[in-house]
Amino acid sequence: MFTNERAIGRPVVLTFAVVDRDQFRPVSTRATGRSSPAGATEAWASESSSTISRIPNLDAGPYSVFRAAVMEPLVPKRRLCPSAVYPTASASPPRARPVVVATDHILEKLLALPDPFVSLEVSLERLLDSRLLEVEKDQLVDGAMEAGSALLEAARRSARRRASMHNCSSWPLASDLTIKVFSKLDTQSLCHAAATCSMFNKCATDPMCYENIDLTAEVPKVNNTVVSKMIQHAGKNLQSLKLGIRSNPASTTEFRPLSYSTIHPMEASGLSWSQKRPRQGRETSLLTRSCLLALSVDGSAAGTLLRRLHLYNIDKMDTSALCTALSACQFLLDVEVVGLHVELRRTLDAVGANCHHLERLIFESSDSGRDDSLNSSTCIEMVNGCPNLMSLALRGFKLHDHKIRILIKGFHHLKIVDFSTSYAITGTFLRNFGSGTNACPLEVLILHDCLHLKEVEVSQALSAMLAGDFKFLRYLDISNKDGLSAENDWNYRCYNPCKTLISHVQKQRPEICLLAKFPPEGSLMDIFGDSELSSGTSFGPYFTDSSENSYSSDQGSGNEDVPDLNFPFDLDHELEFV
Amino acid sequence: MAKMIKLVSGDGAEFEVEEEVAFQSKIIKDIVADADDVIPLPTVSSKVLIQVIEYCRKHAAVNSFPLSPSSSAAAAASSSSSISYSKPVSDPALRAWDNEFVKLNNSSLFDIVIAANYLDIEELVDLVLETVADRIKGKQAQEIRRQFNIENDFTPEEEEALRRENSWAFQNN
Repeated sequence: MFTNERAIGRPVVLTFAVVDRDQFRPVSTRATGRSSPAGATEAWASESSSTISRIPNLDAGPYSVFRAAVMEPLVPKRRLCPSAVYPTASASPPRARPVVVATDHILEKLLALPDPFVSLEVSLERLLDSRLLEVEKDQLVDGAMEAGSALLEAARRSARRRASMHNCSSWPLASDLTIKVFSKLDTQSLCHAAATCSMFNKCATDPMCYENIDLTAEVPKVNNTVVSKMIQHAGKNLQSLKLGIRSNPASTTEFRPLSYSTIHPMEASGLSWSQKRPRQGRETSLLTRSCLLALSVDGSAAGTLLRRLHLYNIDKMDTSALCTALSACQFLLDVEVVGLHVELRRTLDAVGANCHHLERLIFESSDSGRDDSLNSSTCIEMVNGCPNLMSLALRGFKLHDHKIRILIKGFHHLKIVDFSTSYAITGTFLRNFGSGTNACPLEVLILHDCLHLKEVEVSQALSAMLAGDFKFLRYLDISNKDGLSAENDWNYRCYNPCKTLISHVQKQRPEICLLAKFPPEGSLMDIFGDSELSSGTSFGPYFTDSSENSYSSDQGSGNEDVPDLNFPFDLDHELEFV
Repeated sequence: MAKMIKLVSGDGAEFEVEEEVAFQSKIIKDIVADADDVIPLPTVSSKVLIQVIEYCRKHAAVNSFPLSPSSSAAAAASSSSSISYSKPVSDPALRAWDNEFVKLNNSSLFDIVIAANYLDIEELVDLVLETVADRIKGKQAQEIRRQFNIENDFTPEEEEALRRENSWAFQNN
């Protein structure tokens, strides 16, 4: 029992060290011509037992017992086997105790050498000289190498053991709390944490750390294998999966409306246009259309667990692959699909058919207004298929008012709605909600940058708000970098729309946070260039960039032929902000 | 006068707190239910107990007032998904207070979370663990070691295997 305890083992070594050095000469001077220093060991052993009694300050208690247990066998055993081979760590257990103690002494001496690099080499050379046969010399050199690497390995192992022990005392949290910390990390940070030390590595293998798999990044890094591996790690704990490319993941972790409670309302606009542009070419080729296959295997074992699925700018994802994945995830509560080249109608059909528990759906087009696939029957099926939907965003699609109305009237729990950057929508869907049982249930309504949103419809809605309708509304965003559309021709813009109504609503309905930012006309003429709508320039002028401008010729609201809309100015209006 | 509970720290200092403050801790709530008003907490030092009480006091006060209209809509937005997130504190003022509260060094944070875990104050545990996680996020392995005084105890082979396995995560090196 004592030999296993390193802590108790130490005193044994110390006792030797205190003794007069001359009594323990190096092996070379004694064992001339013999490779086995067993005799020397024997001599040490006999001398050591007699010298022990000379050591002062040894406690009578544990040390004496220890000495009795360890020292006594040492002497007889050594004497019984005079031809024993040089003791090594691999000696058989019955010999282990005396062998280990002798090695301790040798090691102690070795480590006490003042200039090991020089003295060891010199001694080795001298030994070699003392060997007469070539084969003996070879053996000596080989032995030296072996001993050297053995010592190096042992020292490294000890260093690692000490590092592990240090970590245990340095990191005060038990593994359950550590695992909880790790479960809050994004997956990349988790990998880094796992690479710091073995304790963290062990904690990082716990399935709880993979509850929320976040493999989003600003540049493409992850491939399908990583995705399926992470899903495997999560096991039964899988809850959430986020994949793809997006910038500033921190700023978009929450649905936009939350930002309205912050100081900078402009943050509600989210990413700038250039950031939303999907990456092309080889960049996103690491994740392919099959990246979600892991959700469908094993009878959709993983898919069934998933509650949240967020996909961003995965170039190679197509509609059928996405629909297959959605059909495997019947219990999804929260879906975000941003910048994927998928068709709105087919995707919503899949959602309505499979995700009956869905509460939140964010769908942002990669194609800026070109997708007009949404039809009324899809809307009806969505309404029937996802009765619990509370939060809906359809951005950058062609949406007609009557279809929107189906959605708003049909989802009984719908509170938050965002149709930013959508086309065709004019605002007629806001009419005639009334204040009775038909009252509009919306709390948050975002119609940011809707090109065809008409001033007259907005006026009507604002008047209704003044009359008490929209009583649940708390947040309204009708800001538009091109002003609002005039009644008959959306090419004609109103830059200072509904000014009086807006200020009335702000006074009479103070609980509504009303965002109505429109550009100062005239300033746009001079500036060509990037159209970065960064959140920092909350009150700066808006710029249009002809290449980024999605309001190009084929984006008409209806059937009319539309001239190119680049700089819709009416210089007679005054520069003003709301 | 609100009912007072007496908490005794590890170094023997006594702290009297209102019941609703102390009841932020589920453990204390259970103990008091067994009709015991003086609660010894031998594993919690005075310094840590003071900080924990401060947190509980602030959160007990907030919990007893109804949410203002602007924050209730925020609550509606944030609760739009019933997935088990760590629940975000919906009141921005309280969130700001929490952020100030956790501006402590690692050692103090650890003391607090261990005490809060022992006392079963879920929100405080979550808050501190979230803070610790934030201090790990975005860092390379070596930085994490420096930050938390951890040593590398991997063999070269183990380290190589780890980096290979998750090479995507180490690409920026």
